[in-house]
Amino acid sequence: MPLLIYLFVLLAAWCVAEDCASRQLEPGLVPAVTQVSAGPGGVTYGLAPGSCTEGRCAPVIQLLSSGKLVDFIPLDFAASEAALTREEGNSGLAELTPVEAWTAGSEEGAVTTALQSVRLTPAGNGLLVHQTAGFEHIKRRHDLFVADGKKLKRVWSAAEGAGPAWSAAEVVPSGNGRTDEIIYLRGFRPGGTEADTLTARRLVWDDTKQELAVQPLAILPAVTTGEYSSVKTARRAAASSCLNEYWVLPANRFGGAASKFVLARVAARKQTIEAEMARPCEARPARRMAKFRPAGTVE
Amino acid sequence: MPAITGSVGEDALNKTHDVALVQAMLRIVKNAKGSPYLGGHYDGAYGGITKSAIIAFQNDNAKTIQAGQKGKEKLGVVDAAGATITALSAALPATHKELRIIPNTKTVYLEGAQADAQASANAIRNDAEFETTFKNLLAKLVDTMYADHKIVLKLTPTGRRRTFAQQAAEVNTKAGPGESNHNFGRAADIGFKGFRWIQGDGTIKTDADWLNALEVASAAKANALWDARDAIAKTLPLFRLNFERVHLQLHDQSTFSNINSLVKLLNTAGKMKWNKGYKCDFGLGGALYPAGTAKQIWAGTATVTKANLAAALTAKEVAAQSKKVFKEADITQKQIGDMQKALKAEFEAADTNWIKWTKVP
Repeated sequence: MPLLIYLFVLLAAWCVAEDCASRQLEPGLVPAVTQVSAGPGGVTYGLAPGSCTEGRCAPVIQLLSSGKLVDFIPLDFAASEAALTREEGNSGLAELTPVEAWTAGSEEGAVTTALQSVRLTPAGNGLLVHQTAGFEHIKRRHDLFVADGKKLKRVWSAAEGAGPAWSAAEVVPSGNGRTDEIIYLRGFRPGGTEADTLTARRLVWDDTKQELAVQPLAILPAVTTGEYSSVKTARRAAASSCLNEYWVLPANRFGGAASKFVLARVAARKQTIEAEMARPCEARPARRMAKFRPAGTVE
Repeated sequence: MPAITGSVGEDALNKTHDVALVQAMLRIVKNAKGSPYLGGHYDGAYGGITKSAIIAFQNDNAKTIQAGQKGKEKLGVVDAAGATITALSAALPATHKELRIIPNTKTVYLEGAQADAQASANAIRNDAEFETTFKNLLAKLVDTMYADHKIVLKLTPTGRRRTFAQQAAEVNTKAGPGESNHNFGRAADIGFKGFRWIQGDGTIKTDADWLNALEVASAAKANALWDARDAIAKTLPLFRLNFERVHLQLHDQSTFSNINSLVKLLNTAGKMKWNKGYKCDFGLGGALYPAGTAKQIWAGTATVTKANLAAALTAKEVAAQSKKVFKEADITQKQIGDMQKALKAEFEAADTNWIKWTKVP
């Protein structure tokens, strides 16, 4: 019996040192359903079904070296089932960029997870993971992972709070053309007589600090229509046409009068706005290209 | 008057919520020089700064508090029913008199108005668009939340029953018309009306129904308040969803399928025969054919093919002992359009009869 106690204490001590309660490597961990390169040297990120606890199955982000699992982190949104099924398209999780999206579970227990490579340095890629969850009300979150030697690290996260929130983390090429940056958009549709809110952040990788840093963001491309004297009339206009996904925002965010409101769609890329302009939509007055000024609303 | 449940100070009980409340009061109340007794932000963690602030307040109010004297509070300790908390309460400005905190949370807030809570509960009880059992439980939640915590809950602008048409216009959902619990008066989005919480620096923040500002300041603190609401909801019982905090509903979501439940209602309220995945007999009594998603059917773009409609019409002829056979080429686009309208009419009948909805696993 004393030997058993000794072994238990030894195991417990090892577990504390290795943080095994949260990240114990399971020998039988399911292989990744898809992999994304972390850069040269055969290091990849993988997405795999996770184990289930009390009916909650959190997909897992893996770090693999030459195909061998070296570390993993379970994602925050857990589905009602573990098995991952490939979605067609990118499930609206990223503008234009083709990303792989995988869904586990169904109806309220459904969680869709999409992986997107981000060139953080000319030689190394991070992994941006988008998740949407729920059926009645959709919630989104975004996590950025990096490989730090044989460790997988989550270096940035953004999640939506309660209510009719919306968010997107868009990968765009940086000015140098050799790396990417992230435009993080966060919106809220309160309904009723209050205007929607939309904020934007430009996030650039700081390789020295190994973190994303907020950088100034002057304008974002947008498309707007109308100029309404109240939120109520703007909402009515949005509900009666193909514009129901447009934001009801103060016109001064687009260079208009502070007392007016417009219907708007804002994107991280100009191509997205051009595609939106090309989408058939009998909006009156006609839609027009605009510039969204996030200044003053960057959190 | 703000109340603590246990002592705060050196070697005291120092429950998180009590510490937070005392700290917040010391942050709000100012000394003779116009400086707050607590220099930093309140956080619910007891330490040297809090200790110094308590002692400074006790010393400045030595005549009334008499800390350290026989039979009085110890210097540096605030007792639950002692002179220090009474003096602190008296020193609060009129704007901050009704401070409260929920046990095991860290957010100090101001009491809501009883009239608002009553109006909110009454509006729910009188709402004809809610199922009776549900609205009574929801109103009870509002009553209990106010009785227990002096917090006013209210329905959000889009939190009531939604018609199928309103559901179709929703953008932040995967649930199509008839696939949301909101469509059947058995769910509501119920948030916090005019919730005024005390920021770290002692100033008042009036939040939106969804605690957006608190969420930005600290998601954990916002979740703690939703948890307090849900702790009451659970006893009624009302059920939350896994991912959306503002939503509460009559039934445990893990016990039923929204899609299967809608299929049952379609069979109850409509004229056609429906099965899982919106397979339908087109009202012709034969086999069932896929009609598309709820969104497609409601939009009038149900996936009715000429082949399926021809087969369904032929089956009806066979059932009537007729030998007439419909071929795909016999089906006109108008017939397809008419069938799409008929399918939408089934959904409209379900919308009209929303009260008859029952849950199906």
